[in-house]
Amino acid sequence: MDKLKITSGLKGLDTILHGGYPVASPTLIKGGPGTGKTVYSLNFVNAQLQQERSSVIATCDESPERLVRYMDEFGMEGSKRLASGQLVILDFRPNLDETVVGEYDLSPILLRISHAIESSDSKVLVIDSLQNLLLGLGITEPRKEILELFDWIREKGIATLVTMSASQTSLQQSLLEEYAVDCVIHLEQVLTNQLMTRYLRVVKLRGSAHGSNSYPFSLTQNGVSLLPITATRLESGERVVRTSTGIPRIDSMLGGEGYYTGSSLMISGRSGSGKTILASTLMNQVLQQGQKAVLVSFEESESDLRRNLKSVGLDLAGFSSNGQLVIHSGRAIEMGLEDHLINTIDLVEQESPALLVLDPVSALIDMGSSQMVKMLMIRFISYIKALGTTLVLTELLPDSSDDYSELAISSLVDTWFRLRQVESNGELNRLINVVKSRGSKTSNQVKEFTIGDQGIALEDPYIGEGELVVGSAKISRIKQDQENAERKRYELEQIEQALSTLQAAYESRQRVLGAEFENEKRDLMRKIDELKRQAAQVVEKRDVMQDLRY
Amino acid sequence: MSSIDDHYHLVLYIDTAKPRSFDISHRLRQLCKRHLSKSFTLEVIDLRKEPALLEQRRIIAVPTLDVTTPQSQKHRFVGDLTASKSFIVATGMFLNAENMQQNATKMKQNIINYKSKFK
Repeated sequence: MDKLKITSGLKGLDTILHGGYPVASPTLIKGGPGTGKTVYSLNFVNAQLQQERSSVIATCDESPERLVRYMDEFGMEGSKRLASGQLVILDFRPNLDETVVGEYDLSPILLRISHAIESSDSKVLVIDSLQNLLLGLGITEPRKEILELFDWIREKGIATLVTMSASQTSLQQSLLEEYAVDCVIHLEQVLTNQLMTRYLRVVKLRGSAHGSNSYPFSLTQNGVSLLPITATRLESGERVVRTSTGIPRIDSMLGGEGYYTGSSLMISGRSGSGKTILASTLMNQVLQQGQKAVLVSFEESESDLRRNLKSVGLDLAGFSSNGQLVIHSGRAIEMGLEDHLINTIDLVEQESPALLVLDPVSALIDMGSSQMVKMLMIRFISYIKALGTTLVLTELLPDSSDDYSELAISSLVDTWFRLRQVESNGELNRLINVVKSRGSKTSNQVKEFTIGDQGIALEDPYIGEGELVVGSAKISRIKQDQENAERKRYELEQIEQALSTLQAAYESRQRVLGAEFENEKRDLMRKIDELKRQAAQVVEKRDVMQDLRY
Repeated sequence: MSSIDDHYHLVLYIDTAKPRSFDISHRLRQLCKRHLSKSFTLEVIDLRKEPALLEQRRIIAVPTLDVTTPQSQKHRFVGDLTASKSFIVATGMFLNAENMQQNATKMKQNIINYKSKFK
């Protein structure tokens, strides 16, 4: 890591800040009430304690006991560190019994902080929150002495995080931001569609590059989770290994060996088209190979899902009990899209599964403007990809749709299956086709499949002439084709017979003609010979006559 | 430390690095002698020498004066009390009713004195 930066304790934030908070100068976190300023502070302190760096917290809002309890609740061993002396909490809560009667000097603040830092040999300081530090004195704005404190911090090279309420912005405050700190981070809460989302934005980071967008984050039981944007660099490595879908015929639709391991797949279809079952089949295959999988369901409870899948031959109980499979189910409306994605990422980071199923991802789509959803999904998909986890999304198409994807994210996925149910001859038949599959020789054929108690099975395709037919139409067509073939074979036989009869007739006639010809020929030849002989006799007679007459 | 039942117990926290701090403790003692009806003890603590006390007593500014009245009421005053006016305002807050009456005339006189000083 950068020598000039110190980890914030949050992977996502470190990425945004290109390494972490600056060491040389305090970092200011501004945000309204409830935006999580204290939680950011605790994460920072915890990360330093983990590296055996002593830390001092000057608390102006919460009592030291409560801070320690929060840390313990977040799994940060606050009380243990406090007991070992690595963590020092200074109680700067305003004493409201105080009466200000005259001029005073704030040197004790610096004195207390420096004493605590020196005696515990700390290199890390948190002040939470600055505007309450002087509240007991009736002052809400930073004074000159605060700048002196900051100067001292800078001089000593103590990595410092200062929080501040963003409710009011005065000249003094903006002066503080301009002058005293090198890094300013804004936290805010935004309510959209009755769902609250928290955002983080880096306003200023002197002398360093930083991400400049608003990044959603979530306060979870482990502290803060940021939706990371690392992977938007598209640096995911080359994928050459393929994983079987578990259904050989679908594998062959994808070029023979299945999908690329670690790619993203989407399964689109209307209600009842078999999306969840196909997704679970893919998952089952991965589990069978001894790898881990996570399924996040927004529609079915875990037990319902388990039962429904069991009825089609996918028994997942064994995988759940040995920890290979984690099923998380929750209603989409429980929280904002960002929180859902962040929670899912937390789960993925915890379990590092080979495959992640989101069923259905379309449940999340109604939760914001399509532009925003797309942006988030890009981040999410590319992050999952960077982890090397195969992502399987299902998309529920509304019944009114023309079986076309309504999600603007289809271009983001590598492989896209479309499932349909086609009504013909009073029955519904299931069809599957591969809309696209990057880097694979994709079959252009629409195939028929059935869902039975052994799961998904692809039917033998109808290989006769004409268009694709499915279901009972296929069966009747096959029968019809067989009859047609039979009839044709019969016709052929008849024609062949006729031909051979004709041949025979021809041959016999030829023989008769030949005989007649020979006869006639013989007669004529005899006549020719006769005439020749007679002619010769005439010449002979003339000679005799000549002799006689001369 | 003697019993606080019958007298005021005052603790003054000062920062000896600040040039006026000795002056403040000296003048405070004088003011107490003049204005407090009962006996008092004044403890002066230099924060530079006892930084741990800062933490324990949660001091954020100097001078700070902690007062415990004979009735065990506690008051904390921040800022320079040695201007007579602010001392009177401050002591008015912790003197009890009985004392108040006793001191009313005294105080009135004080104010007159104070005013006449600037006339």
